[in-house]
This record gives sequence, C-alpha cells and structure tokens, in this order.
Amino acid sequence: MASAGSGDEKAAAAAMITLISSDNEKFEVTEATATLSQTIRHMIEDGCTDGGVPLPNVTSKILARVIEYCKKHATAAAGEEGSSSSFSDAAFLEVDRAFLEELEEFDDAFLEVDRATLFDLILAANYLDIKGLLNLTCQKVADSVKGKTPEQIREMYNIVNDLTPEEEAEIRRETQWAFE
Amino acid sequence: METTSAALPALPDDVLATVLGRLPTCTLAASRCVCQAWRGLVDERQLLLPRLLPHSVRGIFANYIDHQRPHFFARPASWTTVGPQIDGEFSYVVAAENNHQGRKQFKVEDHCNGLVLYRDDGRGDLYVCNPVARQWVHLPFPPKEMGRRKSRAFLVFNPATSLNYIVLMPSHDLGKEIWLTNEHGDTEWPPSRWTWCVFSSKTKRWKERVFVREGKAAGTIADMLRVMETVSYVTVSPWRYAAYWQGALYIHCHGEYVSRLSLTDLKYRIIESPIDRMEWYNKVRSFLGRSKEGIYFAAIHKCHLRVWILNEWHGRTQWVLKHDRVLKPRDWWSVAISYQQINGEGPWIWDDFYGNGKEKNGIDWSSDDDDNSIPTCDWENTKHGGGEYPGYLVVLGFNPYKEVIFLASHSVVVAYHLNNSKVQFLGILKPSTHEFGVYDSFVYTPCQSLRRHGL
Repeated sequence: MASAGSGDEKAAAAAMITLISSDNEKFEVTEATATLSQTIRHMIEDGCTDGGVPLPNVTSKILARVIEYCKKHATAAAGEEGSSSSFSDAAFLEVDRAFLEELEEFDDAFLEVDRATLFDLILAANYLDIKGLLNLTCQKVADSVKGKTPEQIREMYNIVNDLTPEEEAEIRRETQWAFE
Repeated sequence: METTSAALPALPDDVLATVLGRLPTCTLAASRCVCQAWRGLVDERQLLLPRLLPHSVRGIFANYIDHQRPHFFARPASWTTVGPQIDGEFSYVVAAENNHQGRKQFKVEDHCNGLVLYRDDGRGDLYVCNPVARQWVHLPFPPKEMGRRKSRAFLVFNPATSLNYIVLMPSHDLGKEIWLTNEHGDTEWPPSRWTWCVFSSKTKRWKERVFVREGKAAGTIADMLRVMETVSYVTVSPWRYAAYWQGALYIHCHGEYVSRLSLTDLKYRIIESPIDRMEWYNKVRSFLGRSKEGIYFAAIHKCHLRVWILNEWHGRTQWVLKHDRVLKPRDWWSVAISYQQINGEGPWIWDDFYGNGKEKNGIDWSSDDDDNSIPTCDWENTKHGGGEYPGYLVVLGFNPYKEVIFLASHSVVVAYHLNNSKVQFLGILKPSTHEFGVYDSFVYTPCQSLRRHGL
C-alpha cells in the first residue's frame, strides 16, 4: 500500500480513509478495508476522499457493522493473495482452510441480527457496492423465505396482497406444481 | 437510514431480484403469487423461465413400422429419482375419434424442449403432450383453405423465453401434391415466398405465415422430385428431422439441404448440406439434430460416420467437420453380450417391459448421467481389426447437452461420444413383440410441468 521503503508518515496516513456516517460519526479505516466497497474504491481512484467520505445513507450503528465485516474480509482477501504465491505446502493450506472456516463462523455470527438490521445491512451493502456482504445478506433473506407459501411470506414481511382473485388463480394455474 | 423498515418491498428492485434469484425453483414460482410487484419482477427479469428449461436426457421415443403406437426407450428409474414413468404409448391421450375408418397408427411427430407432438397418423390429428406430467391438448385442424391436414408438422417450444409453443406445417408439401402434377418442373423450390400454417398456443388459432427467402433456392421442383423418387419408405424416415436453435427452426429436407426458418423475422434461407446429392444417391444417409454447440449434421454410409457442426456468423454459414471415423459395430455386440450375461437386458430398456408384467430387479439408477455407470469400450483397442463389418448404422438422435450421438446397429443401441470415440452400450432396440424396427426416433428431455394453455 504505502510506497516501499518510505518511512514517511504521510504515506502511511494516505493509506487511511475516514468514513463519515449520516449521524456525523467518523471512522478511520485502512484503504484495504475501505476498498472492499466498490463505491469507495471509485472515490479513492477519483481522488475525492480528502477530508473524509460522507455516507449520508448509512447510520453509525450500521456503518460500524459494515466496517467490522470489511475488516475481517480484507484480511481474508490478503490471505488469498498470499496463497496464490509460492506457498503451496500442505501446512500452509491447512492454515488457509482453518482461516476460511473461521471466516464462515464469523459470517454466521455476523448475520445473527434482527430483521430490521439485516435490511439496513442489505441497503448499506447495496449502496456501498460490497458484493460479498450483499450476497451474504440476500442469501439470509432468501433462506427465510425458502419453502414458504405466498401467505406465509406476506405475513412474515407485512406484504399486502394486491393481486385480484382472478390473477392469483391464473398464476396458480400456470405453475401448479409449485403449489402442490 | 431508518431501522424500522423491515418490509421486503422496501428493498430496491435490483436487491429484491437478487433475493428472489436465490430461491429454489418451487418457492420462486410460488413467489409470483405474493403481490403484483413480485410477479412483475420475476416476469420482467425472467428469473423463472430459464430454470424450467430441460437439462438432461430422459430417454428416446421411437415409432415402429409394425406397431401402432410409439414406445419409450430409457434407463429405468424410480419416481423418487427422476419423476413419474414415461408412458411411451401415450395411453393417457384420449384420441379425438376412435372409430374412424382407415389406418390406426399413432406416432411421435416431433419433440422440442420437453413437449411432444403426437399424431394420429390415420386422421392427421395433432396432440401436444407433456409426457412427464401426462398432460395433453388436442389441436384443431388448420382451416381447409390453408393446407392439408396431414402435412408434416414441427413443434417449437422454448421455455427460456416463453411458456407458449407453436406448431408449423407447410401449406404445400412437396412430396404430396406436386409429386403427381409434375408440370411445374422448372419452378424453383422452395418458393421465394414460402407459406406455412402456424398454430400458436397463445391464440389457439392457425394462421398463415409467409417466410421470405434470402439467397438462393435449393433447386427446381424437378430436382427435388428426382431425389424423392429414390426415397424408400421402409429404409428411410418418411420425413426428416428439424431442430430449434436460437430463434430459428432448421429443417432437414429431402434433396440434401437445410431450410433455416427464422421465427423472429419470418425470413428463411437455404443451407446446403455438407454432403451432396451424389452421396445421397450412393446411399449415404444423413441426420440433423441439436447438440452442445448448436446444429449438428451426421452422415452415415454403412459404418462410416461423419459429423459436422454448423458455424454461423453474420448470416453466413459453414459446416465444420467435427468427426470422421469408420466404426466397428460388430465389436459392440461383444460389449452387449457380456453385459447381458452379467446383468440381463441392457442399462436402457423399452417401456413395454412394464406392459408385459416383467419387472427387473433393482431398477433404480439414480442418475441421468450415464458416463460413470455404463461400461464403455474403446473400439480402437478391441480385437476385431479390419475386415468387413456387417450391416449399417442408424442414427437415433443427438444428446442436446453433450457431444454424444445415439446410434443403432442390428438392434444394439449405443451412445457414441464424439470427443473420445467411446462407445457405451445402452440396450437392445427391438422391443419384445415388434420385429421390423424403428423408423423415427426422438431424444426426449423432460420439462417441468406447465399448465398454461391447457398444458
């Protein structure tokens, strides 16, 4: 990240990015962590991160969680780069696998949130364009819907049925196997 | 960001589509019934239809010269692994009129992506069937002024883009009307404006459609009739096969050419076959089908198999030779016999096994993937070298998903892998009670049950 051999403090500081939440809280993160977000990566590339990156769509509570996710996965990404180099002995791969398992456990624990938080995480991941987090959270919602009937889904997520009885009958006819 | 919103509709469409796209097919289909917005999203983004496309070969439908109903040839499997048994005789179809005069012969007329066009060959009635769901509809006849009732018919169904199907019949069948009135011998064929009757499941009506030719005709009517005169009904399929690929129907026609009917812009083009009419006269037999890379063309002369792939770019076409080998079907017998000695019949059997009350022990292959469980033989390493090989090969069809061609020689059916020349013995072609064999065959790929428009 920082240019090699330069003990310059400025270069080290340049590798840190300040993110500002909607409620004006500031978070200092490394560039490696921040660039898991494509949105922020583009801002860095365009050189418009001086004085911090305002994120008016993300509260401090959610941003803290997002950063937690990014920190963990940024380390994982760095690990992956390492594994593609000359380290290929079994011991190293073993470490790698252990790390991936740990990451999986982290993800599972990370998703242990109430539904409102989950939705806010989805919206933040979408806004910040963090693919891994978006996939993870969307899968969690999909898992909650899987195997449910339309009635159960509506009830679960407060959805109003605005289909006419005719439309509903038509849909059921079209794909009857899905309702058997 | 408000933390109180916990309603799925509050998510942006892109995100909701990501969520829905991660649902299993059944829940995804049911999710269309949740609300307007969800149905709209699933339909607009075509999340569901691609999942309904068939993805594996279930077996082969075959028509017989000496049996009035088709049969189904497949590896037996239990309901739990691949779904219900396929009734190759289509006994669930209630024929429109059973007491009509004339030949009572039923056959499979065409197959496309899981739907089968089934025909009463005596009256000409057409039925569109979904064999895996045992659902069927009886099509009306086209109005008399549009064409003949018994013209050959083709089925086009592409569940990736629409749940509707269409059936096409040429208004004038070269072999039938024009055959006897050979006064237009110099007229080019097919005509520059080629009229077809097209049935749409959406409108439930037949409509005349004119396909406008781009490029040259295949020849004159006299040319075509000369070729047709050499066609023997018994040794060669009375009509040839068609394959649907990327918006176009490729029809293999007598006289060695392929008509490419573009269904999107109602234009057609003649594609010359990779073999010419001289080869045809010299008893080279040809076959058109769909496989992994698109449209394939096979030519067989005795045991010599050649296979081409059709290459298309910017309206130009070229046949690329993919395979050129002399096979040794005599060796297949040894594989077949050794298999039979150990296991009885063959990995694939005819559906009339059930009809005759014969049950095989342990019928429960769990996979449609024959690669691992069926013995293969490498014909190059077998003991019979050189010499004359008896008989001939017949093409039963292509596997649409793998570069595999189904061949038969003296009743032995094999799957022949074009990439590595491996031969897998599948079974014996001749069902127990029929002697004269198969004249048409269709590789069947089941499609999820659809009930739109009666199916």
